[in-house]
Amino acid sequence: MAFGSDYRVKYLMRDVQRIVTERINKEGFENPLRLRVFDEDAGDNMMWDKGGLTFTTSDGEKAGSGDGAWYVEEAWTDPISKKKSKSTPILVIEGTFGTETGNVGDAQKTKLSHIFELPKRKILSAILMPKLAEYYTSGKNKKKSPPTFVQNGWWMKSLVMASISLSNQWKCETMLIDAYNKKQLEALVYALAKQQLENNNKNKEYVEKQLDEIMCEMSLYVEQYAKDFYFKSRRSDYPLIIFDLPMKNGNVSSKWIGKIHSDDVKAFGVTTGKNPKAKQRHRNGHRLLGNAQELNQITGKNVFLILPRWNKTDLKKLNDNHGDSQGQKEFINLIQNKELDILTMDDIDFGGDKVLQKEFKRIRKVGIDLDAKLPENDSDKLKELCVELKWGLYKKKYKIKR
Amino acid sequence: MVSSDKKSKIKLDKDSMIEILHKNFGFKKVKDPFGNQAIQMSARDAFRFSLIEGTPYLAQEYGYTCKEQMRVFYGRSSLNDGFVYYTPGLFGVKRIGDKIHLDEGNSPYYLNKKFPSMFHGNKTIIFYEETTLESKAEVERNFHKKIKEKKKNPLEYLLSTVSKSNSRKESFLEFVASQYFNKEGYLTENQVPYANNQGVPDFAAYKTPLIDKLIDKKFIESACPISEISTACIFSNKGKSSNKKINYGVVIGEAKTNANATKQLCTHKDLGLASYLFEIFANQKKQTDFGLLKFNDDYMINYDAGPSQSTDKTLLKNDEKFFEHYIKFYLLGNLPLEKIKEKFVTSKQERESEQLIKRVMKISFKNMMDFVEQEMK
Repeated sequence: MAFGSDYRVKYLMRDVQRIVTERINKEGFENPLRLRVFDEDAGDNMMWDKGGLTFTTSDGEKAGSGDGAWYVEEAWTDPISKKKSKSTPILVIEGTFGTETGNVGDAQKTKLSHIFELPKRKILSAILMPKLAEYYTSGKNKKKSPPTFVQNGWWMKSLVMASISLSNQWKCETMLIDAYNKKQLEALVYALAKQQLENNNKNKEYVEKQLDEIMCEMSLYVEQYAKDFYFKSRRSDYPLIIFDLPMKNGNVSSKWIGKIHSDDVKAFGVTTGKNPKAKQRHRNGHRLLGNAQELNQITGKNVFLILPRWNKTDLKKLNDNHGDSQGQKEFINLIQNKELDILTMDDIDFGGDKVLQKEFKRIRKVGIDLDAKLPENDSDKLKELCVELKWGLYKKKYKIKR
Repeated sequence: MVSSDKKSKIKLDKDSMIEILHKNFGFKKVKDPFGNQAIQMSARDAFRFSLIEGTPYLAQEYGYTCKEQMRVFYGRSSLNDGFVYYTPGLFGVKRIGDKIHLDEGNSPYYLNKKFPSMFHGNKTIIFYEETTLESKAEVERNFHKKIKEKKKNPLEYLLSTVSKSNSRKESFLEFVASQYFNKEGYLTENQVPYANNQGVPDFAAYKTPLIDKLIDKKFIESACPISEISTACIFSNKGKSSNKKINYGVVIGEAKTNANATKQLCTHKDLGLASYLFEIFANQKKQTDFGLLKFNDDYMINYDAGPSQSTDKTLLKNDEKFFEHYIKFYLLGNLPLEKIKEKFVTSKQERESEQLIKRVMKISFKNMMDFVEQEMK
């Protein structure tokens, strides 16, 4: 079995439950909180009312599952799906130690989809991951000498911002908790257990204090980033976000913003079969979905994923179910969400600039013909083209055909 | 090529698992507190079972498994341009401000302090066949409670949950393979350090001259799972070395209960590290090009090594170097953090984990054995 960090998350939760139970027992009470945790994905993927850790989206689709949950044995009706359950969820955890093994950057954004549906049900939730982790990797490309090359992997600030925004929207906390600071989770679970024992003002305030401390740490962490968020993408090449999106009529959209991603359709598992490893290596649908959801959450605006390496044929392939099962699931989640959409090169009016359009077409073909990653020169070129597209949209040189 | 056999009648359920453990490894069949058939094993074997199969000790209300807790590397230098991919596990981490420091980890040294009974006395493995998927934590809690109601000590039990379907049996097969290869004189592991994009093997076994050295210095009793090297601070070892000339070699296995493992084994073949590649159990149909570990109708292991694979000699040589370093970390796992830091982490500027890695890699194997032996006294 391959390495996974799930066991560590799940046993960390068990450890917290053990410590809280011991503490409450010492006070002469029985811990009213139960812990639902499985060692395998199959249990996580069952619906909450069937004893699992999965909830539905508003459309009734399966949302991402959690890794574990604290609950009490009391009847509960899901306010969205209306399904009845014998257990009331109190705190759902999605965790990862993936940053220790180099799963940094956009990979973190996929975690949001695992807790996204919870605050609207008034269920507390948290992403449990190290605030800062060291990860070791190959330093060959950075011209470093063996045997070690270490980098820092921090919580991604946009993810923290999206979690704060989600909390504010639904008036229910979605948190990030440092997996290296077990005491913070312990204190929260203990407070929640006390509140279940007796829901008086003192215990209520104690829970609020724990929640405030966690939310304050998150806010402080993103303070400067949040101030710069809307200015940065207007001033610098990255991120490739366009807040002022010119539409067909020449006006800037008041509802929609866009984010350019350079992935081709392999991201959702559409490959030619020429390269047997392509499906596994280039699967990025979850990352694209995570990016779009996150931006939507932070800004409150609808988000176009602008994919200039795609054309309408690529989109049709996914509509015709040609992606792999995971890719299709992510694609469906994306297109069924009324606040998200995909734009291909065919949706962009390049005006008189046929060179840019032609280059995107050429690079699309290279990637599809190879069924593998682009050669270095084309990959570098693509980055330049995406930046050019971004500034062209900001300057209304190009428009969206909608 | 492995010859074709008729498909075995064995279904991997609770009863056959007990028979496999009893008949192949001599583990005693006993009754659990509820009158059901169970397996008794020594504290050492129970540690191996938890480490590889993942079965939790009922050492606390919510169980504790050793699986995936004692990692050191998640990628080997031989496959990653000379770079080691370190990860916390055996040695822990804590964050102070914007710096990461070494901390007490999940080494047996610290587990023994947290759960003193874990490494002492015989342990009974309870096999619980679940009919539907249940919260593992709640199953453990219920068993913990019920055992106490029977006036027994939960600390003497491990709880193995067996699903009705074929799922979640791969780890059991890995344990069987590990025990088998230990007896054949191999060090084993099922958390093999490979980078994720290289197809992480389910199981690896290593022939190495280091085994005799470790036995002679009483760090291990005999060939064993690699993490067991870190239990020398707890278990006493009285084994005898083989005194045979042994060349370094790697065997890789893939455990399957449904589909076959041909795709993964072909990837390993292309890499050229393993001298033998085999599938464990699988659907027991005819395999080509690779070995097969399966069971006959009397539950006995039937291992066919299959054809010898051609290896990349330079890669193998580099891997032997990596492996020696790798084992040094598990030797170090016998010591408390303060002793480790005193020797290997002295600079306030450099990252602590990086200092540890670099300095451990510089010290010779003999000097590391001498150091740990001395500090364990």
